Amino acid sequence: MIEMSLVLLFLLFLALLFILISLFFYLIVKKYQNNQLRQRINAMKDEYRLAVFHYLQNGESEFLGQDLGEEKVKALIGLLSDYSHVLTGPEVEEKIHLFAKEHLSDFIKKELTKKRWSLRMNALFAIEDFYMEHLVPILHKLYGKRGTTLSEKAQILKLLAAFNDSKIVDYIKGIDQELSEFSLVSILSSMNDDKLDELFSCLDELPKRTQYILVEMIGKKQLTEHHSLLQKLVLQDETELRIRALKAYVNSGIPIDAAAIDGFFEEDNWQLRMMAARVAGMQRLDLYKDRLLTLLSDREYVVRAEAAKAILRFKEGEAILKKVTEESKDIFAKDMAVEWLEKGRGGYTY
Amino acid sequence: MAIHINWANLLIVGNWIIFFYMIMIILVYVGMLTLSLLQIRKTYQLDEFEPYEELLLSEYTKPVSILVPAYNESAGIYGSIRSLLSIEYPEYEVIIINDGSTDDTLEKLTEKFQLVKINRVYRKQLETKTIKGIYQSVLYPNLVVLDKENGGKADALNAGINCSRYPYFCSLDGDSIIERNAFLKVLKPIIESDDEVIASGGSVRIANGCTIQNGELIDVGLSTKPIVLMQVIEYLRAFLTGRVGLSRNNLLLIVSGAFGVFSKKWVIEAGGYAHTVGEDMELVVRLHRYMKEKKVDKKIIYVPDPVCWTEAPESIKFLRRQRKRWHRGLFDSLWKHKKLMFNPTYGSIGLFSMPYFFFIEFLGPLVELIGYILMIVSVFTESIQMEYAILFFLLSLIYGSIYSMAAVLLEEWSMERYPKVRHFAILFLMSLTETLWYRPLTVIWRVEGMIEMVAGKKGWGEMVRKGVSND
Repeated sequence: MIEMSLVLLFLLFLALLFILISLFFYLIVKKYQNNQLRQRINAMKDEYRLAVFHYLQNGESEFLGQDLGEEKVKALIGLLSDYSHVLTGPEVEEKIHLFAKEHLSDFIKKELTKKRWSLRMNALFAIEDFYMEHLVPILHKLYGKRGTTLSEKAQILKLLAAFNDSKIVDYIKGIDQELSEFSLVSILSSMNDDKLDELFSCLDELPKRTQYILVEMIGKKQLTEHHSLLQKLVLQDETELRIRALKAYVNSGIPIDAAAIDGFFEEDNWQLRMMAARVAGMQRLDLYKDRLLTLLSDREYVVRAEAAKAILRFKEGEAILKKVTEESKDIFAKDMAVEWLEKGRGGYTY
Repeated sequence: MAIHINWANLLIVGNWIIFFYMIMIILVYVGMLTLSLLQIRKTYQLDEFEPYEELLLSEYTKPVSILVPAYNESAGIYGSIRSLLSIEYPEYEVIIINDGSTDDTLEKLTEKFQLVKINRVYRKQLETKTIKGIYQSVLYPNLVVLDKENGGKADALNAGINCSRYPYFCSLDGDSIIERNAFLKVLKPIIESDDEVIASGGSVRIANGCTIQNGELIDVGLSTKPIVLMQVIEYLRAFLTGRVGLSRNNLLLIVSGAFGVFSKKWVIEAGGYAHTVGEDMELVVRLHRYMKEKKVDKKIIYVPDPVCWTEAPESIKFLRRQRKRWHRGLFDSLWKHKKLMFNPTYGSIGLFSMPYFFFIEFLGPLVELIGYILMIVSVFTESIQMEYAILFFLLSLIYGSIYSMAAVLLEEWSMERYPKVRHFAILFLMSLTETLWYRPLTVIWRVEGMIEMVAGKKGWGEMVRKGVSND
């Protein structure tokens, strides 16, 4: 049939068989080795667990001896990482930092140069867990290096933010726009108030997305000293900034000038209506009780739900909602009132 | 005039066509495997916890509604739900949709979770059968049960979407066990993409042979039944070699119905689940289509390491039924959206994904079956020498086995769920036997599915579940 040399086919068969057998042995041997390695590392972790704990308590590190092989280093990293997640406080942090600086720096530096992305990431996580601030110069170099991936850059920025590095504000000004909002939040959350103030002072120069998140930070970190900025932003024309400013009001509890949100209850943008309802509820603005009642019949479900929730925050909220269930002609408003009354009674809330 | 057919020549031409078809398939598969190897190697040995720590603590992690449609799932439902109530995720709700079960599913749920009827307002954004009642658990306030008239899985999921409160939902099979951090892993790319990713699927593994207690996976093991072992290999191959490659290029047309997260907004806009045999695939194809028609740039992806364990059929009867159904489902989705095929307006989905799924995944079994038959006929008519036939057979056996072992390697690089060396040896030996029995069987079943489809048979074909978890 097919004109093909039998010998050629046989050779192909042998080649494939060779690949298969090699693959199989690679898998088996690698699995065996990995299992053994894991066992040894786990045994070492058990062996040193108490000693490391004592070190973190009183600084006693003689247990280590001179010879720190790679396995031992990995076990120590595992242990230290476990402890860094459960123990906090400046003293413990300092001890972890000193320990890592002395014994783990070389290993981490080596890992940062690895070709495989996952190993570099693990090293960056270790720098965070062990407060290895002394590696900052290397982080700067990595950040500027071509080929550093976006996720590495995000992690580096987070580290520099946590270490209050002097360059962080400049980096954020020129931040890669591909970086997700989630990463930006995480970076800005790690910054201290002084560095954030530096950013606030040049708010207008920042990319829009960074501005939005920075404004949210006022709420998240309770930066009440920026209340005048919020006041200004709520009155601005840009919808997204207004929404973020309202969100900051809700989260920070900074009292709002009630008149500022007056127009929002009839806005076309449902998010603004929703945020207005939320602010009115959170700050119990009596002035807007009637407007909240109107929002109970809003065309958007989330706005109706927010309005019901807001009404319930008022002292006489339950009575108002009850009245809606009895008298309202709008079935949507009625349904929402019934649901929130049920939730308000504490029975089966979310 | 009588037409003289030269059967011998026809056989030769047939053999050549099949030969080139097989070469094409091999090339496509090798290409996808290479992409997977590169991608998975990149994340090999990444820390299990650190990348997700932030997500777990951040208020910016988007909440998710987990929808579990249940139709006569009394046996496995409790374990499944228990596993859901202990997942690591900051904010979520579990909505079980009792789709008019005729067994005691609702009673069992009511008793175990202390359900009480509530008034919950929901938006009917998708048409569904009537919802008879909404219940909430006294023990777990984030557990809600919808009791509705029977309408099929798609209808149940649509009802769940209507009642869900969060921007993302996850569809889960009633008898699946989800690993505790699976949601963090599957939602990470969605959250970190600022909503550019609108659907994300995880891996599904076979639970038969594992020890599961109270909905918690205690120990990963392998079943002793060859038919289950073959499915283990099959799942590894399907998920790890195929989907990683497709996902990377936004070509993915399947997010497993057993475990996938979707953006509610986009699913509702695209019309929700449709009443079809393979509603999970159909939805994904429709989402792709909708995105292209709306000219928005969104992604549908697959993440290899979040794992959901599910019960595989242990008997030929149910496996056959399942495979026939899957194949009909595949065709349904392709047929409904045939407009996309080779249509440049739909970009790579029209030019690669659709043809790939039609010519390779759908027609593959038919061509393979013809290949088997031609080979046998050729041997008997002596148009092919026995030596060649044997060699071709051995080549296909070795090739299949290499592919399976590569999938095991990918498993080891991504999840390392099988702890023992012995597991690898068993999977290796089983993979060597695949060409002898399992492969031909699945080929025949899928062709059967095609025949039934032509004959117009509808319906589901149930699977009797014994439940993977010990209550």
